[in-house]
Amino acid sequence: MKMLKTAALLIKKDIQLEKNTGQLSGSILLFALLAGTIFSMAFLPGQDQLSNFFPGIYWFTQIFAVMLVLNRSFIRDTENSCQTAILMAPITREMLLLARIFANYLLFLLLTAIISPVLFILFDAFPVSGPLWLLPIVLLVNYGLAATGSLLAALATSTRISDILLPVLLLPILIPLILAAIETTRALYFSQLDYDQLFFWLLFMLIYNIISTLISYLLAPYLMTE
Amino acid sequence: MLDSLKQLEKYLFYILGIIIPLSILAVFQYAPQERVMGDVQRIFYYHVGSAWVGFFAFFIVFIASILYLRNKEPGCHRISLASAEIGVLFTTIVLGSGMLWGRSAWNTWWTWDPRLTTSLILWLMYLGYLFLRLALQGEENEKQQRLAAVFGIIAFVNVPLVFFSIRWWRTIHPVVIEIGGTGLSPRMIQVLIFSVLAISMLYLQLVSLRIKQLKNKDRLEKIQNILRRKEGMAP
Repeated sequence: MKMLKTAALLIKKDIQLEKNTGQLSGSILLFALLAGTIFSMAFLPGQDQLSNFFPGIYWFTQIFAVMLVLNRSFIRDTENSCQTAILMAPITREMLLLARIFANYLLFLLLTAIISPVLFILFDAFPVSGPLWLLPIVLLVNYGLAATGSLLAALATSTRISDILLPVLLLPILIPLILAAIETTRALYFSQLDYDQLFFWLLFMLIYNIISTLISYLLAPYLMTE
Repeated sequence: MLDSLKQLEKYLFYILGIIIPLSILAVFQYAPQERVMGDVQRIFYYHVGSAWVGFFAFFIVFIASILYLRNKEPGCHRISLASAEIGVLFTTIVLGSGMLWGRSAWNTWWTWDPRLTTSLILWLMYLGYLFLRLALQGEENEKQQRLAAVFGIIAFVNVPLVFFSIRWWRTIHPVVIEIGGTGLSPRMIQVLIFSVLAISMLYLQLVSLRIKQLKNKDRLEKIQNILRRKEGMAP
């Protein structure tokens, strides 16, 4: 119980830091906005082929933005030997990583909440068949991004070339999640909502998330060190 | 057990000298010609052998990584590094031979067949593993080994997820080809088993060579350190 309180404190620290500086949320939003705009110029928006390319653009805009800030969320802690203080917190290494995952999860959800309407407007692509189904998709995909991303960012930031290393390591690991994200989102653009496809891939993402949380939990002691 | 393995390792090189030419002979002479694809089908024997070894090598990386994290034995790390390198080599052979075969059999260099795609992603992940090793150069040994082991585990756990997600992906599209369905003649199966065996032994030989080399490298570093320390202390 006490440990959960400490973990909540760590998450609160990240939120407070964002409120004060806005470094991560600012850069992530601006980048996603830019990428979305350029994508909408590169792929001429047209209703007839929308379901073929929009889900991919929608998620890749966010995945690129997320990759930009994942490293930062760890490196920020090493400044002014903040990491040493955090490691002294009365909390296990596992919870330390899980707290980081959750803090990143909140940030990514914020990104999706702001960037989705923008992309829908730019591409004229409101998911008419089932707008409410977007919610579970967004919740699951962002959690997967946060869990796998934080785990690998913890790994990559231990090296000196973390900026190049992270995408190289992370993208292949994300492939199942990306496929599932695109398949579920695509289902929302068919004229008739395909429940089989939707539920199947939602379940798949749930399994992916459980596995990545488990792996993060098991490997955290070897990553969250000085 | 260990002693007999060491005995085997001594003779492995000579056994390979016999078994590899024999397997080439078997593939080109003993195996019958396939009716539809003709001689191109002979790629199959080495293609399957390399695929098996590639996958097995990454399994060894996974096991050795877990063992390393459990008891921090540098030997385990050497095994996983050697195995990853050889695994990347064989997966490259799989991709190359698969593309050549696909071109002549299905008239396309690439299809999104689950096995093919999984091999490609496997290859990319373990190139990432080697790249991580490169990125860690200059760090302390313990850190290098620990981080590589962590990624070795993450990558392998991801393999089944990748395979099934690609298998279920785009279910509307027909699966272009199912290799498992084609009947193989008994001679073909014999040659296949023999070539898989030959390539597995080649893998063992290459890995044991690489492990020895890594061991020597570590020893050399130790000696260099000792010498440097002595020089520093000399008046």
